[in-house]
Amino acid sequence: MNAVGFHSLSDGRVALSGRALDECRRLDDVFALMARDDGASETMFPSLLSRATLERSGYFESFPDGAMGVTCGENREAQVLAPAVCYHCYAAWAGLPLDGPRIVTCVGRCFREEPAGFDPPARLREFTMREVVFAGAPGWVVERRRAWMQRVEAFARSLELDATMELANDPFFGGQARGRQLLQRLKELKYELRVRVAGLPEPLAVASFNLHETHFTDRFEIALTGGATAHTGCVAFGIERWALAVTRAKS
Amino acid sequence: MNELLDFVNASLLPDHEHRVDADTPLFEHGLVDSLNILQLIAFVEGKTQRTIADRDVVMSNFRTVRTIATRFLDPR
Repeated sequence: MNAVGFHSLSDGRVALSGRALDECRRLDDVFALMARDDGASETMFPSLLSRATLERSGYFESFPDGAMGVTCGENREAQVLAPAVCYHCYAAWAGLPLDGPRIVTCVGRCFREEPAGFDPPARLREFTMREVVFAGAPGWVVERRRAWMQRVEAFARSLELDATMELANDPFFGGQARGRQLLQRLKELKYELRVRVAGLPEPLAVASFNLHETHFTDRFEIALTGGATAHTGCVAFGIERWALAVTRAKS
Repeated sequence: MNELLDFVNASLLPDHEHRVDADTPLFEHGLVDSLNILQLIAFVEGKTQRTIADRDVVMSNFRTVRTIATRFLDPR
């Protein structure tokens, strides 16, 4: 593992150097370029995310223990460590009429509590996520996701990765968990690109392609100009996982 | 199919403004959501006395009352 630059630390953390670090940077550059070619503007958001934003997004209804707290500022518990980058976008668009489709790309460190016994670096408590976030008319968001699924699958094949696009669901918790999982799969709201990696028992999900329908636009009061319904969607890349897949495939 | 249609209108969507017909898309506009999808599956399982596997909970089997009935209740 260390030969390619993944250094596992305690508590689900990893340090990167050498080839692993080079691949993380190179791959993130590729995904950022893909996003800019698709018309995305780029924003750098902080790792600290307003707890109020995460509450408004409904995150805690599905993942009551998923976010990591942090103590800082005047209101000591007003911020959390972001579990995904895209929440910042919905907060930024809150209450604004969309006069046209929006595409934003952003990269950031993300933090998630994980059950005990997980295996770094395939699963980490702190990792790097590149996202491409869409907001616009429902059909347009569906079409963007379809195009990104094709684009990223072709890219993985160009790297000679053993990659498969699969229907997926989030690991919901709470009373409605099973219903949410079934509904998510039935409506094909989430796909994952999974890659077979030497030494790992299961294929590794390196990217997800998500339709949120009105989940965020309802909660953040985001609508098209004139009041028509807007949808959001996002594509998320786990950068360390991509680097792991690439370095192990070529080792 | 009529029994399923009655169940959907009377029990699953009692507050819905309009009656659902056999060809009304059930998953557009949030008619069937994460709460009542389990009731819908339980009803079909009760009628058939068979468990529906998660892999069969797909849109091509559940789009409308007619598709559910055709797939699970009146398969020919």
